[in-house]
Amino acid sequence: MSLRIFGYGCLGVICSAILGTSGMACYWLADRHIPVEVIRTEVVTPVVKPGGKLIIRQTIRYTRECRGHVDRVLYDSRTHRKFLVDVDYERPPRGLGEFVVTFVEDVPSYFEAGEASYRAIPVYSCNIVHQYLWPLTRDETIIRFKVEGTPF
Amino acid sequence: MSQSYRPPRGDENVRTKGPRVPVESFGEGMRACMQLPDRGIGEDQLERVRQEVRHDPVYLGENAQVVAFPPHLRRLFASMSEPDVDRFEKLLALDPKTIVWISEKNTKELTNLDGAVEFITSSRTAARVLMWVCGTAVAFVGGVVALTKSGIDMFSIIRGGK
Repeated sequence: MSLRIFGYGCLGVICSAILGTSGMACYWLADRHIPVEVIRTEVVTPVVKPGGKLIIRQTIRYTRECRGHVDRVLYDSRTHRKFLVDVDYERPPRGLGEFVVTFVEDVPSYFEAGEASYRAIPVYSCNIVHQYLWPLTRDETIIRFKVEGTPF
Repeated sequence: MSQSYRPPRGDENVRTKGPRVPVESFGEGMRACMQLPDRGIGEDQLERVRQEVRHDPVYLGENAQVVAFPPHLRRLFASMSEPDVDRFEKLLALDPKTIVWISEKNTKELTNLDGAVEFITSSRTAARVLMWVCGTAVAFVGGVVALTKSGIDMFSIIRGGK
């Protein structure tokens, strides 16, 4: 009799674990709201010398306290590529709200004259399902600028 | 048999016409004093059995040609009802190996067998419950994924504008 009760108890624990886990997984799965919005993008230096600095000013709104990771790359017109330092944060450093951020990036001296682009690919994650299974992504930000002149 | 048994003679106590002969009366007198021995063979045995059978539930009549079974078997047959006969036939139809196997078991083992069967049945029920729960969970998760991919957030109501 007590064995039967124990059996029922175990069955109850296992079933509630299954249902609870799947319920939480569903709750997290259904959440696809991107936590960061870019309101405005302004290229302060539309023309850059090779070896010079590219300055971009963005107005960013943080609506959720989530982890962010942005891969940033520079491409030039002659297939050169430079990876910039990633943006990594566990929570928005200044908290929620709207902020203006200015990026100052070095354009490499081997970039050749022509159309160049700055690309930012953001990946956000607000819960464990995002982190390990299905991250929140947005279309990458492409900011075009011109490289002109010689390095020195 | 306590009483001696004398087969009925058709002509008993019927005096035919004729002179009274001392020899006949002498014979009768002798017969009156004598106790005939119990005869257990042949016609007498048959008649004895007929006497016993007369009160059986199935009685085929006075002139039946059937020889009855011994009393213990007659008692068995008389005590069996229709469902009992079906059960009896099922018992006979059992595999001899089954009967040997059961006869080798003692009471404790047979009670444990009950417990084992109960354990198996309850395990199967538990497995069925788990199957249903897992099926429900998988269906729920699949549904939420499908809805999410098409842009609908099922939990937006309880999420409260996060």
